[in-house]
Amino acid sequence: MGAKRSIYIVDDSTITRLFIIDAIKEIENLEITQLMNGEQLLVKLEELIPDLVILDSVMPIMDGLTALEKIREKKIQVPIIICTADIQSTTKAKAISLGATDFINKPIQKPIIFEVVKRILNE
Amino acid sequence: MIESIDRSYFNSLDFLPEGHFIVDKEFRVLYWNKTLEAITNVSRDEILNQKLDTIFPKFSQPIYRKRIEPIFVGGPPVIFSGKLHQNLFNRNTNDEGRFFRITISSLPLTEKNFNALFSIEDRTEIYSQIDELVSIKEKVLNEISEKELIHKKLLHQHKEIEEAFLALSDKNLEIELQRQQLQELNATKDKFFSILAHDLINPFNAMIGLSDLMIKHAMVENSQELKLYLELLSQNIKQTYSLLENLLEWSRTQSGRIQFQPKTVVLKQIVLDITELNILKFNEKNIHTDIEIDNNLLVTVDPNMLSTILRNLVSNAIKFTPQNGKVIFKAEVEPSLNNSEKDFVMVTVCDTGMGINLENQKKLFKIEENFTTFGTNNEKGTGLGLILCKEFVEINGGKIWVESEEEKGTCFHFTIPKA
Amino acid sequence: MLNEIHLEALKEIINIGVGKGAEVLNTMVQSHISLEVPEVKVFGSDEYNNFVDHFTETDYSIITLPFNGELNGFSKLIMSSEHAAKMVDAFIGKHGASIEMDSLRVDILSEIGNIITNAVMGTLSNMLNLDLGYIVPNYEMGRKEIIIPKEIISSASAILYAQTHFKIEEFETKGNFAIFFNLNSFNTLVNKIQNFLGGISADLKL
Repeated sequence: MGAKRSIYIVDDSTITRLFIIDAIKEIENLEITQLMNGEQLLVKLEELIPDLVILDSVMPIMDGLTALEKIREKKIQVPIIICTADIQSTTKAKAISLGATDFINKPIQKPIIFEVVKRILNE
Repeated sequence: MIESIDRSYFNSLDFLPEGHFIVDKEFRVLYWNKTLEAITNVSRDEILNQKLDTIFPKFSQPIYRKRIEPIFVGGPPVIFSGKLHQNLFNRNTNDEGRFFRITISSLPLTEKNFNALFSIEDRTEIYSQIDELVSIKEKVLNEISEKELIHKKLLHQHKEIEEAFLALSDKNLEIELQRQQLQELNATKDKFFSILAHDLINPFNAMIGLSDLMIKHAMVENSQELKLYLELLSQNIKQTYSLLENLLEWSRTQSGRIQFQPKTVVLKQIVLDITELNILKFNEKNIHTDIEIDNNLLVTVDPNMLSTILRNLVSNAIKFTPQNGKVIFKAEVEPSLNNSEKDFVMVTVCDTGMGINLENQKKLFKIEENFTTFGTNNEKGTGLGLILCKEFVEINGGKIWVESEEEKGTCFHFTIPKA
Repeated sequence: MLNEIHLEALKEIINIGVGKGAEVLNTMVQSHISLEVPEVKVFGSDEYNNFVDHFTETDYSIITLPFNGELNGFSKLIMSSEHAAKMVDAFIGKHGASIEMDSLRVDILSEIGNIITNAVMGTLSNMLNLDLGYIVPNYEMGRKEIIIPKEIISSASAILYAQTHFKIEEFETKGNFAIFFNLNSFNTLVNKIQNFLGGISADLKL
């Protein structure tokens, strides 16, 4: 068994969040929190810092990369996977430079996201 | 594969002005039309059944593959515009300058399988016409803006010329003014010298003659002639002295050496002083004086100047009034038109003398007009006295003018500030 | 019928399609393209004027890709003529945009439109497993009424409209991608989306 690992999934699309949850459901002992935008993520991080954040980039109110920047400014080290439809090389470069742990393209391919999440949780 | 395609259908594509070719999903060329042979210099025999990128290598680049691949599963038509993609069909990569627009459509084979139909349109001619039009337009715009610049310059120059002209006009006015001043100065100088010449020198002749006569009669007791000669001499000396006084005062005003020192004085008192001084002269001609001036009327003037003015006016009045005449002094307050300005007092000196005709009235206060008259007892005047009066009245802020009728009399009016 | 979840699925699919198109454009112009959350809504012909009034520029340049088959509608790249001219100038390396659209500029704008519309239509037909036919796209320039001609609205009793803004940072130009579906296609669309959602339908309580 082992301790529960907490994951925040941040995306304004319910469907995407459910897809991601479905993709990683084989991983055991997960406690998943769903959030809708960057602002909600920042608020939730004040309460509890999870083991992993899966973060969309294009969202209303506060987008993913802005949230990422703010999180790293606060010296919060939590692993963050940027999972986005914005697959431009410039976006990826910016995400990495802002401190993203990994970058996954949409549309989500189950095996890929499963593998990345598993790897990062085990690190 | 080619056999299954209706040849006659594709033969008609040979007659179209665009180049057309068909590839399968491996990019193997299935059809190559005649126009394309001309466009690319590649004959159909050469390329049929070859992979497209063996002869045109650019098509293997990912950017093209990525966009073309969806065609083979029935995706939407793909467009490559001329200027953004060059040398796709040029074997010789130095051969720039031709621009082709490419449209790629899906040709259905089976339900899920498609071939790609490429249509190539040569846009070179149209683009160069556009370039020409654009450069003509730019040229015209440049010409227009150049013309505008020149126009602006001309306007500016015109303005400068106008300003120079105005400056010149101003200068001319200045010069004219100076000329007038010079003229006046000359007239003054001339007057001065003429007075010197006539009115000062001449009396000396008379006085020398008289003194000679007096020497002759000096030892004769009770000589009536001697007494007469002495009286005449005295008269001459006094007249000449009075003249000298005026001359001196006048020359001082011209050189700016008179100081203007206004004081508040009782007008009537000054008038009385002057009439006192002249009492002998009044009595000689039996001239009656009338003073209609309020005892308490105060004025703010330079008292010396006021004395001079009155002295000269009285002297003239006496000179030109016959026996048994009248000299009247009046003073009236003239309220000013604006409440903020000071009130003035109009002083009048009238006589019942011989009067001045209209023409001569105009000449009275002007120095250029040499105007010597003889009084009723042949007293001589240089006219300088009135010039002096005008100067002094104006220094005190007033005006002087005359009203006169021949044979009836003359009134001189002048204004001075009320206290 | 068509509900919130279906609209959300559509939003997400269009998002992915625009992202792909942006990646191709990015490579071509060497500039980052900023994207926004797509907006999806359904409106009827009585709301047409309301819809048109949201477009406030004088002139628009539009590339249209009509599609038919399992779904009927149009995909459009919509830009104000000013931005369109700026965009083209930036692509061919000129400065000082002029508003004139000559053949050269039309060709270039057509390709830019083609990149985006194809990316979205390709993603849409892949992810929803659609069988679609297309007509060669066309370019138009005119006032806001040409964005969606009134005749189209009246012939269909309702339109499903999805739109997303994008901005080419380096060139300071922006545009809209929009896709219109005729009402006739709605049933098919619902079924396809249902299939797409597949495993997670249960979680969504569909």
